[in-house]
Formats: sequence, structure tokens, C-alpha cells
Amino acid sequence: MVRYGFVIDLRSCIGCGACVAACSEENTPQLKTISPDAEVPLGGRRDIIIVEKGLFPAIARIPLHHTCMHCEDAPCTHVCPTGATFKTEDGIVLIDYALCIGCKYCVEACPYNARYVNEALGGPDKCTMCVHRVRKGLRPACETACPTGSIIWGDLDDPNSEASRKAARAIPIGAQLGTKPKVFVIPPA
Amino acid sequence: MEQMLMVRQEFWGWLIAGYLFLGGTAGLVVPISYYYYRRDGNKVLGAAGGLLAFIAMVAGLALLLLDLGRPQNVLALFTSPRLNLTSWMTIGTYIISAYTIVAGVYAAGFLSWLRIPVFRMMGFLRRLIGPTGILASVLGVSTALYTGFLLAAARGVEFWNQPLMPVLFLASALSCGLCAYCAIVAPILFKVKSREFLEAAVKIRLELQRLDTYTLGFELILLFAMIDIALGGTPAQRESASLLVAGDLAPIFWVGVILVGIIIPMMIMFGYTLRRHEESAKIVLVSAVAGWLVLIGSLLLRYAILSAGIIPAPLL
Repeated sequence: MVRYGFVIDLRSCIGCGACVAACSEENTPQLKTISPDAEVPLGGRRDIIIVEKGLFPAIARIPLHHTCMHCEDAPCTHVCPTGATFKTEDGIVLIDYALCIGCKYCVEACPYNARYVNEALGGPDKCTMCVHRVRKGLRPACETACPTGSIIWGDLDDPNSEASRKAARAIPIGAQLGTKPKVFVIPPA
Repeated sequence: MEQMLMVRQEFWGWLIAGYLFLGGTAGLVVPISYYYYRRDGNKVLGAAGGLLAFIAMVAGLALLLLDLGRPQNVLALFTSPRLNLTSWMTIGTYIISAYTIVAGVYAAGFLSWLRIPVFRMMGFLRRLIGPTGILASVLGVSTALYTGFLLAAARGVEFWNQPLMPVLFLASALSCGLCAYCAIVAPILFKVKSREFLEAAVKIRLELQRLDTYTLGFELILLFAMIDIALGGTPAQRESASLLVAGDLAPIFWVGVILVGIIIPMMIMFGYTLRRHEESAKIVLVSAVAGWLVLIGSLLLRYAILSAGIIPAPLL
């Protein structure tokens, strides 16, 4: 079985926001939410939040990634009344706008706050793992844009993929929520 | 290292608060009216309850539709090939649709007694008052309860994930249903009805208001229990509770919900209306004011709970 996911290597991520810009350019050009700083309001499919860690003068600025986890046990799919939110066979959580009524229950149900309301659609919007590119044999825009190769996308079930090899040493984001997220991070040193 | 991004939910606001309020109020109006019809044969209260519930439900459904971002797909709630029958949104849709229709038929049964030609043709509906009254009572209580379950099942907002949430919503709905009589029905009937009505009216008003003081007291305890549990809960629950008791929602919470919605009406009822065993224009007016304060407080309660919702998104 193919099971797509991401590994984010925070040891090499420089927090430049190229992934956010590429995502916005590829998927939501009408939103213009390029926000590499936490001060900028959220509102896109992916964001970088920079947090400070440690005590002065030993302070590190760590860029953290905020996006959809494509959970295997996704709370959004459980609350969607019409089944508009669904999971593909290869594990991508998507929205079928032919069925979505825009009740926003999924937005309130996602413990990762990975969904937002896209005014142009009148309904929720989220990371699609660039499914339109993946189906053409391309890779997600965020991974393609990353200058340091810190975003690794691939099949987590393929033992030979870079993603699955790195995921073995990485931790799932918010694993304590029990939704079986498929975005992993390698914490900074 | 645990890192979280606390995000305040902003997508469910006044429209949903209004809908939850109308659904809760309407939900308990029919059970109360049916009780009086069965016990006293009170057709006036039966008709008023059915009509009020029907109007409130239609208004609530209108608010719900207005809130939908993609109303063009609303029929998917009934026709979707992937319909999710375990979502409270779906279950609620069926409950409120059924309740609106059954409450309408229940009201129509009473209206057929009016000396108006259109309504007189509906005489055959009188036989349905019994079954629709029971069915509407069950659906009405379900409507009020489901509004609590809807929030309790939204996993992202930890403050709403409290088992007491449906209990609070049911208690608030009961106090609204009891108050709807004094706030809306009694003033109208006082204007048009005879001495015979007034004698029954005193008894009913005293019964409703007495029960309402208990309900409001219970609601107050529930509310503080929930706030207290949240203040000792997860970081997001603590922040939500802090928004209510000391944050930007504090004016709405302390003044609107607690003072205007619970304390002042209780003082009016204990101090004045419950001591008056007759009915006059002044007493009807004061009772109506107390009723409206409870209704306003209940609307504000729902808005405050929605607006205090915080999603703690883990980032690492």
C-alpha cells in the first residue's frame, strides 16, 4: 500500500518561508499569505511559526511547520456530515467541493487547526499534498521549493524511500493526540 | 519540547450562537405546552407552544443556512452518497428537520379550534395532537441536547470537549422554554383573554417561574463547575476559561450571562413575581421583563462559549 507523508528536518530548516510561498503560488494565489513570522495572521494551507527556545544569550530561533497532518484517523473525516472530507487510498485527506456545504464543523474538529475558511470557496480549505501534481508524477510544491532539502515527501510504506527512512528516526507531530499523523519532524539538535 | 499554537476559533459566531439558542428554546417549548395540555386540557398553551416552537425553529434554520458557506450544496445533507450518519451535524439535521415539521403539525391541530375558515379545515389534525405532542416532546429535548453534543464532539476546541456541555445546554434550554411563556405568550394572552384565562394564568405562571428559579440555580452551578474544571484542565481549556472570567469575554460573561441572564431574573422572581398570587398588567410586565432577561442571557451564554473556543495546535 502506498501511504504518503512528509518528514520535516528541523536540523537543516532555515525558516525562509519558500515552502509557504510556493504553496500559496501553486494552490491559493488569491490569498497571498506568505507569513514566515508568527506575527502575521494565519490563513493558508501551510505556515512557518518561528519560536524562540532557551534563555538569553543561548537562544535558538526554531522554525516550526503548521499544516495538515493527513491523519490516518482524521477527526475532520469523522465530523463531516456529507462525507465531503474523505481520505484517498494513498492516505491523502481531501475535500470534495461537490458535497461540501460549508458548515465549518471540520475546522472546529481539527486539533491541528490545519483548516481555514477560504472565502473564495465559501468553505474549508487545507493542504492537498499537491494531489494534482502527485497524480502527474510530480512532487508537492513545498518540497520542490525548499532550498535546504528539509521537506521530504514520499511513500512511508516503501522501505527504500527517503521519507520512510527518515521517518524511522523522526517523531510524528502531536502524536499524543492519537490521530496517527503522517507528518514527522526531526527535532533540531 | 512541546510547542503549541493557540488559535481562537472565529468561524462559529453570532449566527451559530443564535441558532443554538433558538433550537434550545424551541426544543423545550413543546414539551412544556404538551404537559399543560395533558394535565389541564389547556388548548391555549398548547397552540402557543406549538406555534412558538415552529416559528423559532424556522428562524433558527434560517440562521443555520445563512452561516453555511456553500448553501448551494445543502441538499447533500440528505442525498450525499457518502453520508456520514455518525456526525452530530447529520444527526442534528435530521432531528431539527423532523422537529420543525412535527411541531408545525402539533400547532396546526390546536389552531383548528380557532374560528378562522382556513384553520377550521384542519380539524382532522386534532386527532394527531396526542401522537405529535409525544413525538415533538422527544424530538424537542433531543434538539436541545444535540446542540451541546455538537460542540462537545468538535475535537479541536478542548473547552467544548466537556461532558457537562450537553447538560448545560439542556438546562439553559429548559430555562428558556419556561421563560418563553412569561416573555412572549402571557403578555399577548393577557391582552385578549377573559377572567377564566387569568385564573389559570396565575397558577401556570407560578409553576413555570418556580421551576425556572431551580433551573437557573442549577445552570449557575453547572456553569461554574465547567469553568472551574476548565481552569484546572489543559492549557487551552485554561485559556478559554480565562477569556470568560477575566479576558475580553468577561463583560459578556459576568454582566450578560451571570448578572442579566441569571441573577437579576432570579431576584425579580423570588422578590416580586413569585409572591404575587394574582395577575395584573404590572405583574405580567415584570414577569415578561424577567423572561426576556433570561432569554438574552442564554443567547449571550452561547456566544460566549463559542467565542471562548481555542484550538491548541501542536507544532512539534
